[in-house]
Amino acid sequence: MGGTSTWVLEGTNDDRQDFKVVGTWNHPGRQSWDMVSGAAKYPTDLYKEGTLVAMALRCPYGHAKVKSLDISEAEKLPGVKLILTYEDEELASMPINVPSYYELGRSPLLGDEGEFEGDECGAVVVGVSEEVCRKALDLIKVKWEVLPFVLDCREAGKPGAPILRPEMNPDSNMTGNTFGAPVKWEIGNVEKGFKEADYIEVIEYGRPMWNQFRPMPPAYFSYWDNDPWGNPDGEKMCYVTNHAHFPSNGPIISASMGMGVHEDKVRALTPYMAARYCDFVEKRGAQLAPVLSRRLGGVPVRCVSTRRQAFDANVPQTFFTVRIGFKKDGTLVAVQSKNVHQTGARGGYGDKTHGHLVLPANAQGFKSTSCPNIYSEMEYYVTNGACTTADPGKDAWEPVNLAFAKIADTLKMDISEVIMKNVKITKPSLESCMEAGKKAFHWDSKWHLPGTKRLEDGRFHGVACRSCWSMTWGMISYNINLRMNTDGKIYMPYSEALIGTYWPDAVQLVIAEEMGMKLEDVIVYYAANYPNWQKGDAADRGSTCTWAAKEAAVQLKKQILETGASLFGVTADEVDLVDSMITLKADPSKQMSLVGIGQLAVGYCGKPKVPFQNDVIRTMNVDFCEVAVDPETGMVEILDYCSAHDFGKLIRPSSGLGQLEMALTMASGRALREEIIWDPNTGVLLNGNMYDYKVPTSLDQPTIETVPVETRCGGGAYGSTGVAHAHCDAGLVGLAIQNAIGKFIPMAPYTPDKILGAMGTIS
Amino acid sequence: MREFTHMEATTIEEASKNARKGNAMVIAGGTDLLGTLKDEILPVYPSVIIDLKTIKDLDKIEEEKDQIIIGALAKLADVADSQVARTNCQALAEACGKVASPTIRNMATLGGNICQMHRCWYFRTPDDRFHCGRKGGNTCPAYNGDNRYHSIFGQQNGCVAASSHDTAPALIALGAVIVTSSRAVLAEEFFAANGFRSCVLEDGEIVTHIRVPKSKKSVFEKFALRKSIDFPIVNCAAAYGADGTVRVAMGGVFPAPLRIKAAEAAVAGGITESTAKKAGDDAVADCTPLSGTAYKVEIARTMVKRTLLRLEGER
Repeated sequence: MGGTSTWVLEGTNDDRQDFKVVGTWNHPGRQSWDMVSGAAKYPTDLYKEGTLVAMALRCPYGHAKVKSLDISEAEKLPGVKLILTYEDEELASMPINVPSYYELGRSPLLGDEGEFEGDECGAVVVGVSEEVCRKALDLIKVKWEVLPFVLDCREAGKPGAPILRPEMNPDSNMTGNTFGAPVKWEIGNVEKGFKEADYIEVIEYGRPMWNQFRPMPPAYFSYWDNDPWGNPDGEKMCYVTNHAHFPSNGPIISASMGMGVHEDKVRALTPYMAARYCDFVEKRGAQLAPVLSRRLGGVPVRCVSTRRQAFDANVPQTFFTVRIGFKKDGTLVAVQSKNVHQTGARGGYGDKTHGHLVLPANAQGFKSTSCPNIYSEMEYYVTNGACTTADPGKDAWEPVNLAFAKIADTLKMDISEVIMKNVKITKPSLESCMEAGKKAFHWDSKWHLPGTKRLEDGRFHGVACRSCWSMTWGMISYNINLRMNTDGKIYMPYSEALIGTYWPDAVQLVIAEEMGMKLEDVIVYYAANYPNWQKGDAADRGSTCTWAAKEAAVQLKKQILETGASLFGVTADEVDLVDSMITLKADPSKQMSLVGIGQLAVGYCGKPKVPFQNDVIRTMNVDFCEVAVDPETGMVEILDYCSAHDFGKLIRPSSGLGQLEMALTMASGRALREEIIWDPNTGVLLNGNMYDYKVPTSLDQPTIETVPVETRCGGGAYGSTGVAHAHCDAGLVGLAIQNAIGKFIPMAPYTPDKILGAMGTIS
Repeated sequence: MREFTHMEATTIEEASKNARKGNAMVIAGGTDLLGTLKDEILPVYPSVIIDLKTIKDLDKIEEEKDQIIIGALAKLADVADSQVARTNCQALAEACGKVASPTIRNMATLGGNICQMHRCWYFRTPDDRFHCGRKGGNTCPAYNGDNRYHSIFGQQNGCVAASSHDTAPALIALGAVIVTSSRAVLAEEFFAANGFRSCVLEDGEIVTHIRVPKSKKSVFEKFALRKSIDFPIVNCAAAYGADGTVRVAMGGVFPAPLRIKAAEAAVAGGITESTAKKAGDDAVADCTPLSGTAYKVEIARTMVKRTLLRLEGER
């Protein structure tokens, strides 16, 4: 509440004020042309002579186990090259290297139990075509033992619920949590806080499973061949594609982790991967493809899945019940939060890997408020609802903003005032965002008390705003290697799979800026065989890796200036790099090209001191939303979105602002239409296609106004920070609907049935 | 997609004859059938696909005295843009313009749209996960399942799917006649849950053209969750007939699109705010919503009212 951030940027040149390329437009991204023209080679596009196709048997029930399996007829089918079953010793032993935090609940890569409908289990077929594989799968005689299933994590937590993973937990469906995060914690004295409160209210919020992989079903392509530079040990190299950018740390680790071979025996084939949300889930094909290829002497094998099968990895369900106590002036004094979270079919994030990696929404966000008394209780339950991915960070702010909205509703206050009153640190970031956003959105003329405004066409009008931190992902190290070649250009290789976050292009700008190079003289390039540690592969990490890039650039520039100075016969502090030329400061007309002065190289590895998901606020954002609600049909239309985001420093505006638009588009889909839907009687997925799983179309795209704010308070280069994660959730639209109709709807998406139900039109 | 024999027909007679043989199906724009084949939705995969696009002159849109003749192969985009259609059967032109997306409308045909299979997600789940009555089974899994997009007027032939053709309500409201290779059928009698088909066509029977009586005014309204791509939650068409009476039809509320005579009766004396509201109320008076479709009743009620008011407003 009115506090000022005391964050101090570390590293060099954090105080730079003049920028030549950082923050400027019209720099076509290295990926852009390939992606929009179709030239980009995805795993589905790669082909080599003799490529075979692999498909796995999929569980047809919500939960089932293979009792017996007869592949004899399938093996006779012309075109079938190989069938492996769950009894295969190698598959049963995979993955070989399992992270230590997966302390419980490990399953084989291909087991005999289908943990959800569509789960790969039992057998995998390799044939000359997809059609042959499908026919072969039809010919496999399977006897299934149908097991009880649970699709809702709240149901999974009830006494008497069937135990879904007894080997993980024989007593209940509860699983663990991330990195030992406490399941229960308390700050202050909550009961005392409630006694001091003038008002006590309870709010509910829930979200369904949302799909992660879309719109392209993933495929994995692998073959084994001789090392083109020789085979000193006589072993072939494994060439492979995958869709991992985290935690696999590059597109080769998954395969090596699965098979237990050294990384230097695995080489990546393409940087491109299917569109998807966030990280962690990697399909089993990533590890199956190289194994199947090796069994067949190295012939190329492509593991494929249908679009429907690609709906087997989703963002998890989560449900909150939050009791809040607050004063008459809107000050929050007590929070009691219970979060029930879904850990998916594996008991944690990921597909091939199993266990306890969970990043749930919880009451963490309340730590960023000035509320002195907070109690948080979290429960995590395994279900039969597909695999789950991470959805970190900003979820923690959903209950916070719901609490603010509830306070505003109860006290008939403007929610923006409630936000500013209760968030602990407001200066400079939150205050700047709120001010800029309110102005751009025309908040003061749009805001009104709930349920009090109708549009001319009879629809209810509603507005809301919410705040959130702008995450900078500082959990992991970043490694930047820079090299000046004899051609005088600066080269930086990277090897991560790309998901459209354009981080290499941001890094290129930072390197050019910091070194004094022309942008075209900084070459950031994909190097498949560059087995480095990850850089900025996800949206929030993109900015963080710029910090390491800046540090590396400073070091390389120092070497270049020292070399150039000696050629000029002066000291290093008498020269500078200007537009890729070593320039004598005293007489800028005297310049020297970098071409031919030698090869210089540096490496910088480390991580900025950026706290991981804690209560320190440096960069914030405020989103605003305006909706119209049709009282007769329950249809909600988003009329306007406005996002004031503190980028810290906006490095590449086209991708930074583009991320805002992308994230808010995603949020609009999640708010109004998207949810994974199963048949309640069988556990079979019902909407595994692009008609019934309703992502926004172009015509559904709301107006989005982006308002960049720059406070230089982030953890990336020049104080930059992350973007996308902060804006992807559905809650804001729900708050605007509440402002329109005067009722909170406790479960996203906010579809017509729920709107009409909330309004009392239907029961 | 599995292999099949692709046969290019040159005449309706040839196509019809071959379509009666074995597991043959006909294809026009292919926007429904190809997805159906890729997902392996049909109980029996066709061995032969007979292409109708190679038959000449099946895509005409022509004015003929008091009616418009539209070939079965007329593309939806062409009907939507046709001045003849926009002038004389506006509801149909509007409906064609609201099907799916521009890309699909440039491929899909009017004949294909009225013959498309239901979008019930139980029926459409691949690998015969739900062996429903439409595929030879004994039950309708939607009845006790997740039926949020299904019927509000009960079952037809044991099925509670909702009709998903956008053009059908317009054709019914306009009093159109569907002409096939063997007969002529009133549009309001053409649609039905009929095995895997959503219309009364028999094996080998092929739609050749549609006769649409001219209407001095007709309109179409669609309610869907998305502004593009989506099939209707509810759609509605209203049209003035040659005798000045109003005809109303709805889709998305029953396995077949329905002519709503109760609504027509309510506005027989003229369309006003109150009669339009009564028409909406009367249209849904006999609804028997499923566990998940109560909200659709309200949408249907509203759609009838708004469609009629728009018909009157633009008269």
